[in-house]
Amino acid sequence: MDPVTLLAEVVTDTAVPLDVELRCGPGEVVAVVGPNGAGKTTLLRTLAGLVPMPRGRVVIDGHDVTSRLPRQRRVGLVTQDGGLFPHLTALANVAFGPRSLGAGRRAADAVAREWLDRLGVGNLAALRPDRLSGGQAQRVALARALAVSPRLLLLDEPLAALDVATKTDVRRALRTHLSAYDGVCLMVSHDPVDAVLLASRIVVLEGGRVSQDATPAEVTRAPRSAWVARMLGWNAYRGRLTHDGLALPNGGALVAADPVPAADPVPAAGAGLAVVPPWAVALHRRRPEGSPRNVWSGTVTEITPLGARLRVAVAAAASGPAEPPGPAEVVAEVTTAGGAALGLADGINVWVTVKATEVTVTRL
Amino acid sequence: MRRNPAPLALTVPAAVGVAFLALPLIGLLVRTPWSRLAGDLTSGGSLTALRLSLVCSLGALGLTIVFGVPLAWVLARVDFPGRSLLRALVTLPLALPPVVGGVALLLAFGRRGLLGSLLHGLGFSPFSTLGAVLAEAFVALPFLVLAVEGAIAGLDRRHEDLASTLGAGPITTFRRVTLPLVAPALASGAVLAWARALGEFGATVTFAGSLPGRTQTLPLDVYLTLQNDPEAAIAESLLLLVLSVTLLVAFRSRWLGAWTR
Repeated sequence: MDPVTLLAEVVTDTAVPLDVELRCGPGEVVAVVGPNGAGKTTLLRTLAGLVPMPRGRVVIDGHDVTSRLPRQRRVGLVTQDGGLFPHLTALANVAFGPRSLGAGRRAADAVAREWLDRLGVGNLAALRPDRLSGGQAQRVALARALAVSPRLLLLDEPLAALDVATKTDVRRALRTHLSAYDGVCLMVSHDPVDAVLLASRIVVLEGGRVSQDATPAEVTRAPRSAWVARMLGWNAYRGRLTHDGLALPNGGALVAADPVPAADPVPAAGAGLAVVPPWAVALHRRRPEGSPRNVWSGTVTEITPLGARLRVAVAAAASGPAEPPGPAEVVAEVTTAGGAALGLADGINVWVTVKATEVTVTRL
Repeated sequence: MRRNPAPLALTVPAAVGVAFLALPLIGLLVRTPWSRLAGDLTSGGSLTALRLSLVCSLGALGLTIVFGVPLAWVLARVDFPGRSLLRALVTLPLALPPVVGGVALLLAFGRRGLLGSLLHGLGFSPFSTLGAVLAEAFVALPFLVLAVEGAIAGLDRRHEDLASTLGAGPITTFRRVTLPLVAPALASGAVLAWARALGEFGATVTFAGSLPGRTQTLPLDVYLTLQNDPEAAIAESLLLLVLSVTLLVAFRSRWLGAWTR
């Protein structure tokens, strides 16, 4: 069996009740993503011992810490803006943990200086937080969390408050230090890009529950939640599972080449999710020849340039006599040249086709 | 571009208000017997009363800090039944006439009060400097507690949470995080409490009496002197005025700004 650093069954009575099970190995960097109000921050605070947990357990390195106070858990926490103590210098902030754990002033300062140097902010040791930039404060906050050698590192949106340039810089620092870290790191993010770039595993949290727990490649290839699909710019549709795909609430349907997930023991029933990447959606001015499985007509409602491509939103026309309507709205990505050849413009009528092999259906 | 002029309906009452506050002070300055000021103030009685006032008000300030800061923390951070009732109780001395406060103190700590025989056995008598200190602390405590409690309640709890994940126990967290963060509020609360203690009259005279050198602080001395020697009383009043103004000016810019925000 693989070694387990963190084993958590988190059940809370908070505003968004959590019911989450996690098992993480040493050195694993896990991104916790999800929409606002999914319970991401609450999950971190509960693991840190700051939110009471009526049921469940938290085991770190084989020690059950469920009933331990935050200060006895050996967790490090970094919040969105760093959460540095405003009245202490960078050095004193980082030395705070070692001193609280019983180190003498001199020893604690030495540890703090070492961590500040390691994170490239040793020259800022004497400054108070109000003199630090957002990126510098985040590095100091990371140094402070790591200075107590936590076995579980909790990062709550560490990049959210930073501007784009600083974000890249701090992200690089995080990558460097997380790769050398042998504890478990849970990083909350609402930005899938951060998750994909930093984590080896992504946990998607929605409404207090895990809707997907997979590698970044798997999550981007086959998102199992409408939220992730939309964040990736994909089309996502909820509906009812059928024998050949998904029935949509507006009476339409999407046909999938592989309708029921192979691993799913229960065939065709219940709620499902269909995702379609926008580059798999083709547009035509005339009804296409042949027999594509998914074809419907609609009206172009919005065209947005995206680099050398265009994102084209198409609203489905009301149901014709021949075929059922497609999804109420679909976004297609076409090259600028292709769009010009089609003569795309707001308000024109188009035909939409999607190959059945490009429609991924999952159970919800 | 011109701004609208301030309306007279507001500026006139404001000016009356200022005059109402300023005229008595001007009267004091006009009537001060400048020629014999030095003599009046260096007379034995005034100096003794001044020294006693400083000792008592600083003693009262010490008591309010030692007991008021923990009380403020409890009111702000501990959830217990009757908390709002206790909060109201703490502010009671603000609304209570000081004389009534003095009577209440007598009924608790006076010779025939609730704890009277116990305290008497320990050698405590209200008619002592310690009695004056207690009376001043009684009226000054709410100023400090309110300022500090408000600051702690408004403090971002995240800092305390983070301190606990860094291994700090509750006392370390209080000492190294909470207290430094509310230091400006503590300082302004302390200034107000000290000023209140310095000017205390009613509770002191009721509870501790007016014994020269032991409980007769400067305000009491001013009141008594006014009966026999009004000019000397004016000189002493000026002394108290200068003391208060110095106190406020010295701390206003640095600390009261944080408090009034």
